[in-house]
Amino acid sequence: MQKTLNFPRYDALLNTDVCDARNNAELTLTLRLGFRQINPAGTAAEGTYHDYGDATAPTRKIIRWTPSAWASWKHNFVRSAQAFWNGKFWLINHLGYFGYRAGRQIFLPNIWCRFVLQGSDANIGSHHHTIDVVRLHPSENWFGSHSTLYDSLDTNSVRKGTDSHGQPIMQRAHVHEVGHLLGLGHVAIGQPGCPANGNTNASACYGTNDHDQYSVMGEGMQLRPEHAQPWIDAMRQFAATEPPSTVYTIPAPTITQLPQRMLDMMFPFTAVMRRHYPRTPAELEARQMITSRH
Amino acid sequence: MDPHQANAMTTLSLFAHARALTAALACFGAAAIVTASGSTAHASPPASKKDSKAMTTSKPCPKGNLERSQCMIRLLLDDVAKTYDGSGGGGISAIRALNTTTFAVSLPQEGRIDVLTYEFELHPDGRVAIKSRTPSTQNVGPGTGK
Repeated sequence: MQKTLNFPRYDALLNTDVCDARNNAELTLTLRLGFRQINPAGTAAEGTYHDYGDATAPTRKIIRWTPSAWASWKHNFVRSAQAFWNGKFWLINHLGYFGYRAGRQIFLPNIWCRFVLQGSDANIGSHHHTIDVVRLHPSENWFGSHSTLYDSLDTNSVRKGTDSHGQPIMQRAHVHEVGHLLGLGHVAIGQPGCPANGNTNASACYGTNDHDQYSVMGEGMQLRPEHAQPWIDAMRQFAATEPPSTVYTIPAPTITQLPQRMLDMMFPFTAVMRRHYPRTPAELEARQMITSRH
Repeated sequence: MDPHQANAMTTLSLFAHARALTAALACFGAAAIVTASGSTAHASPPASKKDSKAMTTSKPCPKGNLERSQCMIRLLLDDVAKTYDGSGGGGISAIRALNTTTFAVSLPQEGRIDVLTYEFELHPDGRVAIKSRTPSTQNVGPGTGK
C-alpha cells in the first residue's frame, strides 16, 4: 500500500510495500517550499532592507541575487535541512496496525519517519509555504528574519545562546525554522515564563536550562523524540482512515493489561531515535522492543 | 532644565549592526547614542563582565536632565552587558525614554525583539539607581517566530 494524505503543512505518504521481516513501513512527510528573492530596488546591485521587512526597523545592506548564488543557496538550504530531519525517528506501533505476512510469519511494522524537502522558486508550482529571502552584503553578519523572511546566512551555524558552563550554543536557523513549518513549537512552551496561551515567542520559550536550550526547537541542534510529533499526527490519521489489517488484530486485553491498553489507545505511536525492527504478534503482545534481528 | 524639556527628548534611537553591538557592549568608550534632537551622548568606558565593581546599579549624577538621562543610559548599558544573553541577535536597535525615569531597550533577535524596560529611581543625594528591569518580547512577522 502507498497512500498519501494531504495536510495543510505537508503531504504524508505511508508506504507499506517496503515491509518485510526486517524493514518497517515508511512514512514520508514532504514539505514544498517556494523561495522568492528580495533584491535591491530597481536594477541596483546594492541596497538596503529593513529587519523583519518592517519599515520602522533598522536597515541592513543587501546585494542582488545572482543566478548562481540563488541556486547555490536554495540547494544548500534544501539539502542540509532535509538531511537534518530525514530518517531520525521510528514510531513504535503499539496496537499492531498494518500487519502483513513475510513468508509464513506475520509481522507488525514500526514506522520509519522520512522527510523530503522540496524547494523551488515561488512562481513555479504549488507550495505549502512561501519564503522571501534577502542576500546580505558581505559587511553584514546579521539580519532580522522571521518565519517567512529569511536571509542568506540562515544556513550558517551561529551562536544563539550560552549554556550554564559558559559554552556557546550554536544553531543553524533554517533547521529550527523547518521544525516550525512542520508544526513544532518552541521547546519550553507550557513551562514557567512561557505559558501556552501567552507569547510563545518570548526568550524563555527557547529554554531556561541547558537541556532545553540545546534542543533544536530551543537554541541548539539536538533532536529529541518529541520532535517526531508531525509524523505521529500523520500516522494517527492513517490508522483512523485505513481499513484494519486482514492478517492481525490485537487481542482484547486482560484485566491486568487494561491500563496499558488504554494508554496505548491514547498514544498508539510513540517515537524513538533508534531503529526498532518489525515485530511478530508474540513480540508485540509481550511489549518486546526488537533493536537487533539476525 | 525644565523636566518637560527632558520629556521632549523622548526617543533615543541607536541603530546598530551586530558588530557595532559587540563593540558597544564590549567597549562603551567607542559607542555613542544619538538622540532625536541630534545631540550626541558618549557612553562610559569599557565595563568588563568579570569586573563586578564596574557593574554598578547606581551612580552619582549631576542634576541636569541631560546628565541624568546619560547616567541612566550608562547604567542600563552596563546592566545589559552584564545580564543579557542574546548572543546571536542584532544588537541594540533602540533605546527609548518612556517617561522621565523609564527607558526601554530593544534587542532584535530572529523572529522577535527582546525589550528590557528599566525603571530608575532618583535619590536626594543625586544618585541614580536601577529600580527594576522588566523583560518582555515583541513579536515580528506572521505566526510562530524563528
